Amino acid sequence: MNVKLHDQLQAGVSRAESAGGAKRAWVLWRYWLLREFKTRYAGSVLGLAWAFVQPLASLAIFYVLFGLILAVRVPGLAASNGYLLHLLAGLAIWLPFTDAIGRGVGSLAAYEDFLRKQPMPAEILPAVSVGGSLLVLGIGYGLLLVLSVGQGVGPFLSWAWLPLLVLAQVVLTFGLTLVLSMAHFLWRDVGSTVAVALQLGFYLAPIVYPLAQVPERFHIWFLFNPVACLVLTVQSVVLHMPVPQGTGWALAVWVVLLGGGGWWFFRSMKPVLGEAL
Amino acid sequence: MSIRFEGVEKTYPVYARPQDRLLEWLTGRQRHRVHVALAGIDFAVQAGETFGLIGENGAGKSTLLKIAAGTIRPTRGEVAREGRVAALLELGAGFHPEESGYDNIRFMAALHGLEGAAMEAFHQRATAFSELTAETLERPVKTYSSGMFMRLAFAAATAIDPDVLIVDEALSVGDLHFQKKSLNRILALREQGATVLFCSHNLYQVRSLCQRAAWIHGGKIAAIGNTEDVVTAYEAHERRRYAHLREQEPSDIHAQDEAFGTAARAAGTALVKIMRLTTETSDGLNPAQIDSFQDLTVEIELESYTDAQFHVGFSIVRPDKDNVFGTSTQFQPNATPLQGQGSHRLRVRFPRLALLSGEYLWNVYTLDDTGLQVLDMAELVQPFTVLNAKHREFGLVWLEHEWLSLE
Repeated sequence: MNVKLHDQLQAGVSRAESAGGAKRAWVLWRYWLLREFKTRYAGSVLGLAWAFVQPLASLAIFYVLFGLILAVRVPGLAASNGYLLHLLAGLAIWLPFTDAIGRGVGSLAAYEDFLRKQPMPAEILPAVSVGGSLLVLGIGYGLLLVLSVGQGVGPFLSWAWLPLLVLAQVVLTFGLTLVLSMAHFLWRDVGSTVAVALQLGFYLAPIVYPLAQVPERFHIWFLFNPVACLVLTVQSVVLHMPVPQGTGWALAVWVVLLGGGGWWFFRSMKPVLGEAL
Repeated sequence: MSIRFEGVEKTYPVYARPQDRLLEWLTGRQRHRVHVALAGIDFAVQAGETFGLIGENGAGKSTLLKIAAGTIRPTRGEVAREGRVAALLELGAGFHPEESGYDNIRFMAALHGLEGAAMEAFHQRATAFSELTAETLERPVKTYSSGMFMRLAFAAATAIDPDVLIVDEALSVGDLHFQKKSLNRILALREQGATVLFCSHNLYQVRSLCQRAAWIHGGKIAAIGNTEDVVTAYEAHERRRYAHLREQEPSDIHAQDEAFGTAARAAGTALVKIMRLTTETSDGLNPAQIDSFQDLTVEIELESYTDAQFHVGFSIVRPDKDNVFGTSTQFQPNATPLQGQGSHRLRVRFPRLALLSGEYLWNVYTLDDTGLQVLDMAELVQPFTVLNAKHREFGLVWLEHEWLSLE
């Protein structure tokens, strides 16, 4: 019996209990998220302030290094401090993304014993990791919009797309977290691989460098990187920067692929979670 | 309010190496062997019933409980549950060490999807039951002693007022006072009409708590029905296994029991300690040999360290642990428990001890006032031999009989 067949044969527990399941999952997710925030900074003096310090520190380091010392200029962005905005648009995507993935990968493995003993929807665990990154996401986008207006870029009508963009980012991140957390549960190599991949991934998206600095023939390759698609779309929507044609479509495909695929993979592997062998 | 298993089967794929799972997933070719944990499980626990699961370690009891609780899904078949389910499979598994007792209780409430007023009510019930002070509950759980942790965990696990309670040997946690309290909580829930499915190695407990039971053996139901029948069948099986083991490894239990109480004595400090068991016949104290139908008096000395009421039970057993005859203060017509600190002395007379030839020993237990919690025990002590010199009948005991006709 292979795994897919295994899944089909696997019969459900009675339907009646799934009715209250969604509400229960929602309550549990919110409470778990609260606990996550409370315990993450437990015992530290600055507490929740660390949530702001970390993204601001990244921003400052990259800005000083690339914006001031190496003096990278961003063509197509008419603002006195264009690089800062460009960097901020990238980090508003990247920081919550790495935060969610970094925490989410090990989430199922960390609660292995708990999942075996306590009936609960396992999707909650990756969802909490993604939820935990929403604070950084909010800080990033907020800062980006405020600075943009301050620099005389916008507000544009196109900013109305932002809620949809954030939703796309959340779905994409959640899908990937679902896949990776389950894969790590099955094969512990995944965690280490992801750590390396995240370091590399940062430089594969146009965050510290503008896409215009990259030879044009490579531009198409960026569409095969979901994070790059997100970054480019935000640059286009918020800052009105030119991006390769079809970036929006590529992003839509990625969202469906990772969101739907992640859900499917997680669901098909879920029976493995409670098993002791 | 009930749990129904319909043709439940559970198999696990077992992979020799982790990469086999990956290769199998990619290629679709089977690369695992199948371990059958449970097969053909088909029964229902009725609403308000207390149902026991017994069986050897690894027989599949825990898997069945996990399927009942919903942490794992059956490979085949269906499980239908009605009502709020509380699973006491492992206490405190979801507790966060950095969080306070209060917050962990709230987390348990959230696990059941409770919020607002329902969460507060849950919180109050759990706090009251845990008997922990407000000051303690505000501290992080990592600072708790294991006893305090277990108290909080049990309180939080049962505070939902479950319709269905699934218990996996969780009764033996914490100190004796709390054990009794948790047992009482389970009994109280049962009184309210909750359905209880529980698995235990303590056959005494199963006998006294359960209306029906199932014996799981090798992933299948070996026997199901009336508790007494099932437990008896299981005991018979255990005995055969024990006898088999003894043949392979002839250990001399008499040697172990030379000094009274050093053998199978409950560890730790018991609240009512068994001090001594003496037998007396016309031949003197503690005779090694007794004749059938001799007048025998047994005296049990106890030391109680509490004011709580307790019962005393004892039995005559054969070396293979088979009970020949057992009785208890609880079984007496008025069933008055003993009480009071200090030493107690019980004397029971067997005017005509109807044992026939063989080796016999004594088991002694002290139990709490419900007769469920064992406070102290001394098993297989004070061996004696019975010689049936005057009669030719054989067997274990003399049974009253009459030859009605000899044609």
